[in-house]
Amino acid sequence: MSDVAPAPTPAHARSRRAATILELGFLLPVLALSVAVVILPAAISIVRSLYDWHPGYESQYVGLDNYTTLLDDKVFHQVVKNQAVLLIALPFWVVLPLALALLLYKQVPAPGLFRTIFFLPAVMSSAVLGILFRSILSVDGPLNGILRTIGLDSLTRSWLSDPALVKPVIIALIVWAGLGTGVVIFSAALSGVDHELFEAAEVDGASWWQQLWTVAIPSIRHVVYLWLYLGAVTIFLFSFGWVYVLTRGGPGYASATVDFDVYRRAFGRGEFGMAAAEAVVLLVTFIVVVGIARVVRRWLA
Amino acid sequence: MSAISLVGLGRTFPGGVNALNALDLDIADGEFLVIVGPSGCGKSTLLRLVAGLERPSTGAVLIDGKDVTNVSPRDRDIAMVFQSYALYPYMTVRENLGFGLRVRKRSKATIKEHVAHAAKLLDIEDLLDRKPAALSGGQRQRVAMGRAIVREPSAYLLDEPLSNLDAQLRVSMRTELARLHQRLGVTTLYVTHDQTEAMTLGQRVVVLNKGQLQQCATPQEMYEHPANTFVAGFVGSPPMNLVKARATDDIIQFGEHRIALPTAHRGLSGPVTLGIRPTALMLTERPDPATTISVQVEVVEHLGLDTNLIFNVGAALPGFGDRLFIARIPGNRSIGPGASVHLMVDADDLLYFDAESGVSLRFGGERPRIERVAGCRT
Repeated sequence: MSDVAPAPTPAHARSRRAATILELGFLLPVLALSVAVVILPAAISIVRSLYDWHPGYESQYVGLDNYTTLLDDKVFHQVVKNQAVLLIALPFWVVLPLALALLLYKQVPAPGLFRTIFFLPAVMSSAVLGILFRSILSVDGPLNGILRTIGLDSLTRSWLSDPALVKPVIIALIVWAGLGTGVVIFSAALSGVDHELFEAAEVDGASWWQQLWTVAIPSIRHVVYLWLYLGAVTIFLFSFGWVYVLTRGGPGYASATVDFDVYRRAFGRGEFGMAAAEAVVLLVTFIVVVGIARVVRRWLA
Repeated sequence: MSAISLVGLGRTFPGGVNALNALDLDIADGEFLVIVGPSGCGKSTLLRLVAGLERPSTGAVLIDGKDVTNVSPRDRDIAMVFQSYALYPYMTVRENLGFGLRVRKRSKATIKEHVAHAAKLLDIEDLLDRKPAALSGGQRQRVAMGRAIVREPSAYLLDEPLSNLDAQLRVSMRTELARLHQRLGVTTLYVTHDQTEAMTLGQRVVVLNKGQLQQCATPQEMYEHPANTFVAGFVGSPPMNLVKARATDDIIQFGEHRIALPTAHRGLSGPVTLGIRPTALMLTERPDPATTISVQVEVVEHLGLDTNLIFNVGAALPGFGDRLFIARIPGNRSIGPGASVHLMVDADDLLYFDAESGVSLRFGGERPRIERVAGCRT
């Protein structure tokens, strides 16, 4: 018997090639789908953003005009500002479900029941929840009704049409809607942490709050990063559902976000080229933000 | 430093499992007290109750006479070393050591000074910048101990701190813990399932079984006067030989053997449990029927200095199975399995226990009497 491995035979090479073809066969449908619905439309948007685009008609090439117009546009400035304000939701988006998960983990009886209760909003779409809250928060809606019933008339507000209130309300709703999924994800992550770490911290003198920051978050930091990314994606790219259903960007442009504004310019005003340019700006901004986050994360580690 | 008192301390878990039953215990200021028992005896529960990690169902915990039953762990001024060490994996050794002071908002200079002191004491100064994952078991154990020392608490609670170490390291860390206690003199509650650790480390030892206090005594006292058959069978290595026996007319009979009761033990009659320490059996060439049993050796364990002879003393009474005994003899005797030997029983070293309750019988009055478990009050 020889110790030398047998040289690759033509038969080996053939079976290896067959395996590669098989692997590609499995990959192809997914690749085709993502090219068709993500990459191709994005590429088309980038190209169309360089045209004064009128779908169905001949469009004129305008170079970077759409971008320069956009950057000088007062509404766009307002929308970007709104988007930045909505990012205030991020810390709450992370800390609230984490704190709740920690409470459930540590001391609440029947934690499964509470997890189910918190998870409920996650099974409804933002559009459905938006319609629900549009009626709850309307001027003569149930919320103001309850406030008046219990004698707190002074606290009643026009929640969705007051320019000072509308963004905080949307922030609260986005945080609330993500709460359930966050609690479930963090609960699962915490259940993998050695219980004695918390007990050691408790005996060492860490308060509940300190345990959250010095034990819970560092122990499950990878999940926290993931949830932070998902939060950024939700705020940047999925606030459309909330804004469209709740306020249509109003009052004025007080609650318009970039993704909503893309829709408004394209289908509200027919400025398809500008809308495409705005979508590209949103995409690039998001890629830059995620890139910075990755650098910061590596630096922290 | 502090004295700790447990008053009628009990813990029943949801579902009715009684982990600890109305325990009374005083731990003196600066004492090293070891709690020992088989797994599930309630010893870890006891420690967690003292730490405040669990609430008692009955009774109270007093530290320096102050009732702390409803005080949170962080305000009890105690430090705990966990069996898993519970080191924070994402912190360096230095950060782990300083954690207790950092969360208490002590100044950076104080933290640095205390960490340096503890690191020097435990000889882990060159490990300070490593993460726990890069440490060996013994080094992790030291860091866990260091985290307790840094805070200068009034008491240490150690939960099986050596059980994850290999046998050799366990022995050397045992010595280090004893030296550390001598130097620091801090009240220490030490939980273990290992009777050797208990006997070598404890100034006093508490034996628990099924949530019940079995005995609380100095190691010597416990070895010489075990309160009942449980303690007798648990303490000492190898453990005491226990066998159902019957005393009649100054003769005690067990298995197929009969020996004369010594004068001091006359008056004993009826069924008892007889305890014979492995060291109370000595090889003899001139068998005296009154004090000698003749047996056939089944297994021989050579330990170097000593040799264990394991043999069967036969069914004591109908219905009882065979009983294996251990005799510990000097290691320089060459005896093989199957050999027939005569063993002289040191009758003065015999112990007797009530056949039903298993409680130790004491002599000195007219009749042998049952010895009640002494309380654990200082």
